[in-house]
Amino acid sequence: MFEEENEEIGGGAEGGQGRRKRLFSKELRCMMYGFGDDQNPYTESVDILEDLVIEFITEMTHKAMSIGRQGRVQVEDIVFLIRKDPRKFARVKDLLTMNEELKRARKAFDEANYGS
Amino acid sequence: MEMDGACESPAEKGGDTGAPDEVAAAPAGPGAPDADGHPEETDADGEGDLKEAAVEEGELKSQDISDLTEVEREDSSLLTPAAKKLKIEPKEKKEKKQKVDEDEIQKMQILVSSFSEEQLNRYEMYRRSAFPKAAIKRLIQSITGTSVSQNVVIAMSGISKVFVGEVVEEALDVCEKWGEMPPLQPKHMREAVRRLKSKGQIPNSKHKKIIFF
Repeated sequence: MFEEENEEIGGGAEGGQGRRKRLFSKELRCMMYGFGDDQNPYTESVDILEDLVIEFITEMTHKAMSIGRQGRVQVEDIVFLIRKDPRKFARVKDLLTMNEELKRARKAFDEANYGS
Repeated sequence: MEMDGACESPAEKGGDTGAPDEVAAAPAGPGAPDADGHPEETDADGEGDLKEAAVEEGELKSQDISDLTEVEREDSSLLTPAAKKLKIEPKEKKEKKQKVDEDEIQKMQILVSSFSEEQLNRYEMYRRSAFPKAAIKRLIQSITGTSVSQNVVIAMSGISKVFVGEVVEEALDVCEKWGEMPPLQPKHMREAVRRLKSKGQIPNSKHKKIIFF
């Protein structure tokens, strides 16, 4: 499984993991360092992680599409899917709450500017 | 496990490590024309701001567990029967939670203020690294075929980062257990994934589960 993915090299119009252009290489490197890896992680490891992340997102998206409103991905579905994973669940709740606060703060700021 | 040297901060790299809005949002205030308004980081560069970030993180960390109980009150559709039985008086819980928050915040501040430069660098990467919103949005939309809301992108990016953390931490455990040193090698990553899969932490809808045998 992983061996196959790693040995795929080069372009080609096929979909699937390990064959597309690398999407998150830079960000993943910083993330890995932040989580405890070396400051310069191995490229092969970064690639494996990228494939894992894409697979994770793909799985989540497919699952979300199959529940709630069919064929669409909504936040409620994501929250439902990770309800049993305490870390991810708490993180999503925090992110959404903070986003709301940010939006409100920005709106208030804009209104204040507009008024003066 | 300390490594020498420092990873360049996003500010130095001109913002091309993380999503550009991560860096753009940093020096500006909350009213900045930040299209996405990513909620992860609102502080500017510098040690003092890392301390503020520590405060924020302190709040988040202490909320990790208590957040679950918070949700129980707000959204009963997410309650399990067991969780319903564990409900305490809302007022007591709120006071207890505030006290826990304050302790956590203080502890985080003390911790971050005692970091070495290398540790500060790593902590900064830990806080600031994020997936580029555009790429995530494109990826999700290529799977659904329809458009998705901004909140979905935010949620998905967030849990993906948590996912990366889980894999990297497990891989570091494996690496240490095998008596080896970072950088992590593919074999560590694969073993980490194998372990997480057996714990059910990696979603896999392709495998047919055998329940009774």
